[in-house]
Amino acid sequence: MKGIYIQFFISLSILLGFNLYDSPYFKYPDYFPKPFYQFENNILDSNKIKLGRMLFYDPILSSDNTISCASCHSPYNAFSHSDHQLSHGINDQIGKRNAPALFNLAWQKKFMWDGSINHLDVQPLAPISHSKEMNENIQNIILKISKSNFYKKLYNKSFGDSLITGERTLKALAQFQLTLVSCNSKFDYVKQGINSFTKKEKLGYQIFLKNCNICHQEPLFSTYQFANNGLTVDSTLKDYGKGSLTMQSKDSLLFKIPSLRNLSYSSPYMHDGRFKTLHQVINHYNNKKYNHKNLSPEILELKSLNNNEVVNLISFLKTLDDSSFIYNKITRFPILLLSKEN
Amino acid sequence: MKKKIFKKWFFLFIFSPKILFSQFQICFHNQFLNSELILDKKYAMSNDSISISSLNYYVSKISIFNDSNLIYEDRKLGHLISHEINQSPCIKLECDQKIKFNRISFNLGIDSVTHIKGVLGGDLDPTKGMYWTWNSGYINFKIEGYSSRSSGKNHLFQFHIGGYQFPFNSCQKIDLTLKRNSTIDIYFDVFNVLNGINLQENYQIMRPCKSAVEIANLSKNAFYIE
Repeated sequence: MKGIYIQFFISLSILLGFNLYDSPYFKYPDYFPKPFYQFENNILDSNKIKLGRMLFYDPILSSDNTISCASCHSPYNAFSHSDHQLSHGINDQIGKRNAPALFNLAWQKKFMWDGSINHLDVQPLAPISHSKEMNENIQNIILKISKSNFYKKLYNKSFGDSLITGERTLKALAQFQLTLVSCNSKFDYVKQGINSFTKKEKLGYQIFLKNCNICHQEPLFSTYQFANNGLTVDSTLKDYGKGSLTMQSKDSLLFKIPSLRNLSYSSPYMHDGRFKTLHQVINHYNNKKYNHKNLSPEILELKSLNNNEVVNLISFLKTLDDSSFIYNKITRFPILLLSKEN
Repeated sequence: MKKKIFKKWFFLFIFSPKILFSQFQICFHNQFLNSELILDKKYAMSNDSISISSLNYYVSKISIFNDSNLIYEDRKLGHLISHEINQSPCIKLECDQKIKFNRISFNLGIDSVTHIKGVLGGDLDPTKGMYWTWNSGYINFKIEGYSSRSSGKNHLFQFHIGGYQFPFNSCQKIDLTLKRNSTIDIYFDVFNVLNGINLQENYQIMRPCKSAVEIANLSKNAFYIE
């Protein structure tokens, strides 16, 4: 009999062990799918998250110590860049893309608008090394951080010794970013039965389900796949998205489908930030003047919306704003960073 | 009684691996035309004068066989062989010295499964200069140098061979037959790689592409046992 209890206990602990993503630092509602990120390779830990937060807000990651991750991924813009169509980096240089908002990253398989990065852990290497963004390299960052007593202490607390490596640095950055979960919008409260939609929002939700949900699938409001949504190529940027990377015509103008959560905070829209308002975005889908060979077929099936329908759709989209995520004290600039020696 | 014996054996098994196993080595010898490669030395090739300034590659998935039986499998995800750091680097393996073996296989490069594991440490840490930042992936094989025929700037050539996805997967499996129970010395002759490339036209590859896979194929055939 005792044996059965022991067996039961062991199998229960194994089951719980596999459920590592259900950590106190990573909470999400039961109607969210299972996260894609493999937490067993980078188990969340409060010290590592804290270290990652320091690194995220520290301009030490750029070559002249002026640009941090947060320069283009500001918490008040759902970790995106407002006011600029294209994000600007070191020495006021302008890149070729609009910095995307950062949240619910554990559910995403590929990163960047063109999917060039295959894992959240290694994503920071791209902006760090880009000559127009941070213009730095990870080897030099490790040298700089290794001279800092402030960081030595934090690495010691996180990893048990003060050895500073690329792996540890990137894992800590990933840990902080994984905690950026946005799941407290009005939509979520309606889903949980705590709140209810207004009449307009309800009508807008119906329009959303018929037209947008195929690509911007709830509850994450994106499939995080890649699609050609019919935008014409900007003649100055000549950005063909995934096609520029793979040089294959089937990938031409494929960009990552963004989530529709937190739209009020994350204007401008699209990979090159060409639209400032949601009206402009919806107009683009209403116009139907596309001439791309590999246009996503869903786009052609879209119904043209009248003015009333547009208003209702926007009312619904605003229920996806999550103000508690934007003003979360645990993820904003850490005051402790100011005590760092220079 | 039975239980006690079992416990004793169990104890021995856990706490005395060093008695049962010992280390043995696989050594890599980078060559140019059958003699030890010396960096920055001028070598004469047909209609060409060549020097190598840098040579780095990853070796992974080392498996040792006796005929077709797998006897030993290396658990480490990758070993960086860097000619700048060590001219004849040896990989130490924990294994029973008395095993019989006559075949070794390993990958030149990092396979696609390891590629999507996220950030890794040790030899696979992105600070080793063998990881692409703009397009995720390890550089499996990196060789840089000078060729009088190269049309590149200052006649330099630069091959950063990587790519883990179809159709440009550049990771190569190498299978070599060994003399029974000999120590494992593996030779890699850079001449055999460069001799297969028209350096006048093809002097710079730094992304996954068809020519990268072609060079990976050349590199695969440059490994041999003496």
